[in-house]
Amino acid sequence: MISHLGIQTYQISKYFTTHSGSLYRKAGWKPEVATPAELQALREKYELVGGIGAAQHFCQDLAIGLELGWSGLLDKIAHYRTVNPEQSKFYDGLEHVVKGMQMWIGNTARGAAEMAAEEENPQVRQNLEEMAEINERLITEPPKTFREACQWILWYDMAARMYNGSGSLGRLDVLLTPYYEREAADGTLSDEEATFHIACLLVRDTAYLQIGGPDAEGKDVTNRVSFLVLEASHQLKIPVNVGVCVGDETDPELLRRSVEIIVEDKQGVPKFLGIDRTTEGFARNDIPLEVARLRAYSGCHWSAIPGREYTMNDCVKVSFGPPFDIALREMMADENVEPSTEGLWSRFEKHLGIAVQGMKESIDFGLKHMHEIFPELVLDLLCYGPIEKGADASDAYRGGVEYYNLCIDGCALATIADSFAAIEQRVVEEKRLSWEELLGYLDSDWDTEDGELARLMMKNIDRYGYGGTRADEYAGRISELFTQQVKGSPTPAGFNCLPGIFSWANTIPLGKSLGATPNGRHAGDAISHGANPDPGFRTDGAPTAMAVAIASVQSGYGNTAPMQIEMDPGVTTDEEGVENTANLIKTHFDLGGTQINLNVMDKQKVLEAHEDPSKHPDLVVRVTGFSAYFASLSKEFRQLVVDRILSDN
Amino acid sequence: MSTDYDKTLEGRIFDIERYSTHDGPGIRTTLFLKGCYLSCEWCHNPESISPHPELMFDENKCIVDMGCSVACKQEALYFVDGEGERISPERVARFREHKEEIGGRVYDEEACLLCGSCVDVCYARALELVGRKISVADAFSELERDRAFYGNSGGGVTLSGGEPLYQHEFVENLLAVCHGSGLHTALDTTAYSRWEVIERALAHVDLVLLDMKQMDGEKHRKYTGVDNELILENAARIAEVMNERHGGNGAENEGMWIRMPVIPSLNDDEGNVRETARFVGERLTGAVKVVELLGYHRLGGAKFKRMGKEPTLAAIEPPSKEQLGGVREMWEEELAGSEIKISAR
Repeated sequence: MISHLGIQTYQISKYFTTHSGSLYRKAGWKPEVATPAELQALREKYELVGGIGAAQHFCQDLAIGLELGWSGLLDKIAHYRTVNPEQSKFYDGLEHVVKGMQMWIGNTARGAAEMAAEEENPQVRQNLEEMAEINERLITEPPKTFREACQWILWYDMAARMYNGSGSLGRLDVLLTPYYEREAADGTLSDEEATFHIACLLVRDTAYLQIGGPDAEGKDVTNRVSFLVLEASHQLKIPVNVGVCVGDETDPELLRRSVEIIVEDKQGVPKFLGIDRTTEGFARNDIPLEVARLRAYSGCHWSAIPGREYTMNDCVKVSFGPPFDIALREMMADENVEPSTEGLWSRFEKHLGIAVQGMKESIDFGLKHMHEIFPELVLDLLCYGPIEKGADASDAYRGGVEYYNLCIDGCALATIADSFAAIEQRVVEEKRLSWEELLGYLDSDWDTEDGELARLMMKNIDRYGYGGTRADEYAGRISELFTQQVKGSPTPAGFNCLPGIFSWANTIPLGKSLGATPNGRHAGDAISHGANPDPGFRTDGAPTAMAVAIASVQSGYGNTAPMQIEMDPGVTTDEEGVENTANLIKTHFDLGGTQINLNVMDKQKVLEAHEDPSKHPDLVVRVTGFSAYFASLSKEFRQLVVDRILSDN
Repeated sequence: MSTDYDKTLEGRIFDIERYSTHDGPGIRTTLFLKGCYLSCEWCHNPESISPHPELMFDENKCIVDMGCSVACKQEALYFVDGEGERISPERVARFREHKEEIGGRVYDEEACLLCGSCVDVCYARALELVGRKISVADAFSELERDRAFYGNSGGGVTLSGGEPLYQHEFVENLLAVCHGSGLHTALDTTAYSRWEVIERALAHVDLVLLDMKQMDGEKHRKYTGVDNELILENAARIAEVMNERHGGNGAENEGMWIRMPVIPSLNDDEGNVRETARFVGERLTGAVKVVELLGYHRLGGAKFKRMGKEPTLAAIEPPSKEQLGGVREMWEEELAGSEIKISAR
């Protein structure tokens, strides 16, 4: 079956895949623009990730494009070029994007027409003729129909993807509804056709999108298109990144249907968004509620106000590991001080503070130069500000867009919380080993005569996630401390930062560079995943325990600390199971949670696929904030997923 | 109301399971108490039968460090060399270097004081002293953790075991505290107790989960160790209490749920199935909302091993889907016309 969205699209786009193993162009950085030596040294010392050279990771507003079309964008550029003549190079760049897209669309339209002329099968010929006609029009005009809107969105997202891996679908149900309602009313579009068009879009671009949630006034937007998007993703059974809002005002049927789908399909799709918590939290940044409500899920674990907010979401990571390790060694090296957990904590606080401050300086530095090095261009086209001001969206100093809320995520929460707790219990209270002995075990990576025993002793305490333990308390303290340090002051240049807890794929490299930790972790092993407790924290593996624990470590300013949870299909197949799962999700959000990434997976299948990925090539799992084909993951990533499953009971 | 009760009373439990979805409606936390008057051959919680603490050992987790044998002053737990000679603490270091020369492990239950010193040094968590004491207050605080989930899902707390009423004083107080604080309470009981004990507990119980295993008294004794007359009598009296409370119009999460373990060749014959169903339909009418047919499984097998015992009933296969379906059909026939919901798993 030929997709109606472009043969040439496929031929070109097959060379560019997104996400892990991606071949799209990376922004990179100009070597001549060197990070100041002192800052660089600090970044290396604390192993800071990102903040400099971050590209995209914010959300454009497709509504602008759907209204103007490519010619309309050209007109807009031409007009503002006269207002800001000194920015002509920037406007040249924008123009090149638009004209390039117009050429590409035109070539495709002509290609379709040529193929149609030679096509014998009448159905295929008709499809090709329609494709030629639609795309000929879309070279210049805004889309008029539901199908054209899907086509226009896809062209735009193809451009964004190829440019620098960007492009989110934002609130697709809101964007497509005007077209849907019109054509459903006049009988020119059936639900089946609409679902098909959406599926054709999603199979080309599995970008992040949000369904349901509040409009500016707080009214739930859930509509027929919201359910059609779910249906399309259900039929496709590929790693589509659909985020479903769950809130007090959100249609409960959306949640129920989503749970049915995730249980039936076992693809880790969709994700669940604690929209009330993230909206309330985001508004605490002195942002009006009507604006906060517009923030759209558009990435792994993040949202941004379409077209109006620049965020560096998911690009900035501060691991708690290095500050902890540095603090421990600094304390042990100080002969004038008796080691203690209070002493360790206060040094940890100090070093984490330095790391966070270093990250803020990095962000300022990044923001200063990014627009010169790799302007967003494609995303700029569909933002409010860049064209009008002649300033790239990343140009915070000139204010390309209205809002700058830079994400700083913390990682290794469970690793360090459990480490603090293990020390307090085993070293301080039970005196089973001394501080010096502990350091010896860490330095040798537990590889001494009784090292394994010591490692097990430190590992097998009541850990974060169990509930009511000292490790739970430490996790809360670390999260609170980090939140206060990130949010407590803006960057030196005055930009607001938002704390969250998420490690994405950095779980592996951040672990590689971290030595052994007192929670019994080996040197080089992955750090803990996001806000999750380390696997095996309870023998009953209770999802409620995890839900309560993770709800208690939220930062509360709008960015998320997602809960990653694996459930066995046996637990959830019947109606009662679906209801219990839906209640688990809803209650996690009631308690403060912000996002849930849920895998309903067949343990056996995953273990088999880990041995031999070719056995189950179509197995899709939720890895961190994204779904992916299990077989496409690196062995290390597959191991991460497997470890989570194996440790349950 | 709940302040009239004694929160310092202690009970002995062997597990607290959060997100329990098979012990009553909604999302629940189930507290498992030690001690049972019965010893059913198909029991998959063998550690629940004795009211006393027991040592369980998981050989899959054991790293043969032998710290347990050093910690044990009673010589109740030790390892032996190839000749069967006890490896004394002085010799442990040598055998740590030569684990291949270790002959085996010995546990002398008679000599064991259940002090837990061995467990304390087993960092691999291969040893577990099953059956810890907990006060009503502490138990309540653990049960409370998932309160938000109960509310949204129509769930609550379930007291199970073993036979929870084996420790009826503790259970009565805990139920009262839970119930008084607004939690939905379920009691998973064999109903093999004095009626006065059951009646007192019932005052704080929303839902009784009752097993019905075998209608024939002799067979019941053979397979569970006790006669079923008292059980059947109590079942009918529980139904009476519930009917009086709800006028026969209780909600699905009130009254009684009957659970029938389906054990091929022991109780799944047509005679027993129909007689059980008829008993429910006639003597427990109005109070019973749900019947759950629970196919025998062997998931408790590993636990027997950890207790150093052979699994009972190893020879019996779990019922097939068809067998279970057949049993369900018989129940549906006998209860035709009633509003009782029948499920099978």
